[in-house]
Amino acid sequence: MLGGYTGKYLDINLETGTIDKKNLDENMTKQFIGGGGFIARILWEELSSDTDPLGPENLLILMTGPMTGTLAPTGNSWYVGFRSPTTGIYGEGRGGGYWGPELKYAGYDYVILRGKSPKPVYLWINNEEVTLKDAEHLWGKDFFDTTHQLEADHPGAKVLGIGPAGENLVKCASIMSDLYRSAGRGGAGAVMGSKNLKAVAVYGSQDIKIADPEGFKEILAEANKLIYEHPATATLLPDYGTASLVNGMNAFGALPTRNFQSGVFEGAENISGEKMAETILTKTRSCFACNIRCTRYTMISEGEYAGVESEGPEYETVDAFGARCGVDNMEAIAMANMNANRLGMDTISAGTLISFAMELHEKGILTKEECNDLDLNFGNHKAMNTLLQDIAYRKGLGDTLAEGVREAANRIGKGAEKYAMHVKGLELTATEPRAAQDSGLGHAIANRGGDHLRPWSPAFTLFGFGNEEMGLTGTADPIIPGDKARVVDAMEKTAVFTDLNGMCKFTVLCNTLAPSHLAKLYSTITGLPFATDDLVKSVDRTLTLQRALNLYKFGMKPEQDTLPERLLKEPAPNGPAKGKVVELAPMLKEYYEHKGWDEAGYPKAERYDELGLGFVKDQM
Amino acid sequence: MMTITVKVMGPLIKIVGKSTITVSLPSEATLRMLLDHLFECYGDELKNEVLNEDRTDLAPYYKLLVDGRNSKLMAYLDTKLQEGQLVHVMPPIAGG
Repeated sequence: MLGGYTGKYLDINLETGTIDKKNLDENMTKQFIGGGGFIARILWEELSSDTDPLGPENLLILMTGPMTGTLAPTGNSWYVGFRSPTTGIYGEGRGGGYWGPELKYAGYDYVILRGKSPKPVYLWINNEEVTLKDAEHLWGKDFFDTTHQLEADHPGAKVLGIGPAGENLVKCASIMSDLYRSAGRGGAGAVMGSKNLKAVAVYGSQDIKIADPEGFKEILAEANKLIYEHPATATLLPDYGTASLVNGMNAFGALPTRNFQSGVFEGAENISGEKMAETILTKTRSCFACNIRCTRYTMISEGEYAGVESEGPEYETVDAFGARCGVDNMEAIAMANMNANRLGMDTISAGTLISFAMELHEKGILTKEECNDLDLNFGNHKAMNTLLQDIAYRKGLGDTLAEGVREAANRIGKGAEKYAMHVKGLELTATEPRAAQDSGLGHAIANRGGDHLRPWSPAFTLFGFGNEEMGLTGTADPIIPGDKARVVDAMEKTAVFTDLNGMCKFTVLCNTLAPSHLAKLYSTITGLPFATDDLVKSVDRTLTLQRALNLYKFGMKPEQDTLPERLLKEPAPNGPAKGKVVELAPMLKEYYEHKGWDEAGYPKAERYDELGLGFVKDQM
Repeated sequence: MMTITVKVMGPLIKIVGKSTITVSLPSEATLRMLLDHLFECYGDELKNEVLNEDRTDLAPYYKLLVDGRNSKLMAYLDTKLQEGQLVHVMPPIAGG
C-alpha cells in the first residue's frame, strides 16, 4: 500500500450491526487520492436517483486523506460524504481538529455507514476493536455533553457526533468533532440522525507510513518556513483569526448585510476580529499539525451573555449571526455560535435562515404571531438567539425554517422565494457577489450548492493573494466579470487538492504554499511520482465526477447554476459596488468552455475519457 | 485643503491608537502624500509596518483602497484624492 494510507476501511451496516473490515483498492488511491475524490467515487458506485437522502439507503461516509494524521502542515482534516437532504445533490463537509488523525491511528482511512439502526447507537473504534454501543442515554443530549460523557467512558478517545438538530433531522444540522469543529454544510447531521447514529468515538495507537521520510522532512521544513514567514499565516491569522476579514470585506462592500440587501454594514467594527481580540478572546488554539493557530477561544464573564465559552466565532459565523441579521453585538454572536455548536448546527445556514425570516417580517410577509411571537426585527439579537433554538427543536416557525431556506420559502409562499438566499438549496456564504463577481461564479457552479470554498477566489480578487504557478498575478478588478472563469478555475486547483488530502485551505489561500509544494508533500508521503500537472488533473477529475453525480444520478440541471434573483437583478445600493449586479451569464459561458463542457453545461464525453472517468458515459 | 477619512485595520489600530482618523491635506494631494503625512504623525512604527524592507513600496500584500477600490486599479500611490474620500490602509487579511 502507498504511504499515507492505512490500507483499510470499515463498512458498517447499522441495520444488521454487521461490521466489515476491508482492504483499500490501491488503484482508487492513485486515481481519486482521498477526501472528496473517494467520496464521489463511492457515491457514484452505490447511490442512484432513487436514493432518499434521509432513507436508510443513503450512505454516510466519514473520510480522511493521505496527509491526515501526518505532519504535513495542517494534516488534520476529515470529511463527510452523503446525498444531501438540503439540496438533493452531492453533499460533502470538512472538519479539522483531531478526530481525523485519530481514525488513521486506529488503522482506518474511512468508514462507510449504511442502513438505519433500530435504536440509537454510537460507534466505538479502539484500534482493531470496533463495536456498536447503545446510545439511548446520549440521545437528546447536546454535543458538548455527549462528548464529555464519551470522553469519560473512553479515556483518550476523540469524539465526533451530532446534537439535537441532527436528531430532529434539521436540514442544516452539522456533524461536530472535538467539541467545536464542524462539517456543517448540506445537512450531514440530519443524515447521521436519520441513521440513529449519535456519535463515533475513536482511539488509535498505530503509525502512518511515510514512503520517503528524508524527502518528506525536507519539503516539510520548507513548507513550515514559508508558513512561519508569511505575514498572513504568521501574524494576521494567529492574532485576529478569520474574523479579521470583517473589516476588510466591509471595506470592499463585500460583507453580506441584512440578508444580502447590502454589502456594507455600519456596525462592522464592533464585530471585527480586532474587536474580538480586544474583548472576549482569551487564547488561541490550533488543530492537529497546524502552525497557523487561527482558532479563537472566547469567554464572556459578565453581562447579558455571561457564561458563554466556546471556540470561535469564525468569520462566516460572525457575518451570519452579525451583519446578515443586522446584529452588531459581539457577545450575542458568541452566544449564537456556542449554541449552534452545542445543538450541532451549521452557523452559515442557520444565520441565513434567521436573516431570511427577519426580512420576511420586515416586508410584512410574516406577522409577529407567525414569528413565534418574537419581534423579529433586524438587529434583535435576543430574538435571533431564541429562533436559533426554535429551529433546532422545530418549534413553530423554526419547524418551517428547519427544512432549509428553499423549502421554507416554498411553504411560506407570498413571494418569500425572492428573499431566499441559496444556490441549489444550500444557503449562501459570507461574500457579497455584487462586489466580487468571481464569488458569484464560484457559488453558482459549486458542486454542493451555495458554497464558497471551492474556491474562495476573493483571496485573489479582493485581497491580492495570487498564485504564480497557476498564472494568477497582478491586480484583479472584482466588480467586472472579465477573466473570472480563469481565476475561479485556477483557485480551485489548490483549494480542492487540499480537500483530497486532508489539509486545511489556509495553507494555500494566501499563496503561502504553491501547487508544487503540495505535489512534493503528496509525492514524498505516498511514494508516487507526482507533479503539478498531476495535481491539476486530479482536481479536474474529482470536480467533474462530482458534477456527473449531480447531473446523472441526482437530477440536477445546469440551469441551476445560478444565483438568487436579488444578486442578478437588484443593483447594490451602496458601497464600492453601488449600481452593480452579478453578470453571471458571460462568466458561466467562459467557465464551461474552460472546463471542456458544452454550452449547456454538460461535460463533453471526451472530457470523461481524458480524466479516466469513462465509466460515467454509461449513465449519460 | 481637503478632508480625507482614513481607516486602518489589524496591527495598525494599535499603532495609530484608533481605527478611524480624519486628515487635512492640500487639494489634489496624492496617496503618497497621505502616506507621508501618516508617517509624520505616527513615526517609524507605522512606516516599518506599512512599507517593505527597502521602503520603496508597500509591504507585501498591503493595500490602499480609495472608496473601497484597490488603488492599483487607479494610479496607485500617485492617485489624486478628492474631498471627502475614504482611504483604507489594509494589511494582509485572510480567512474565508
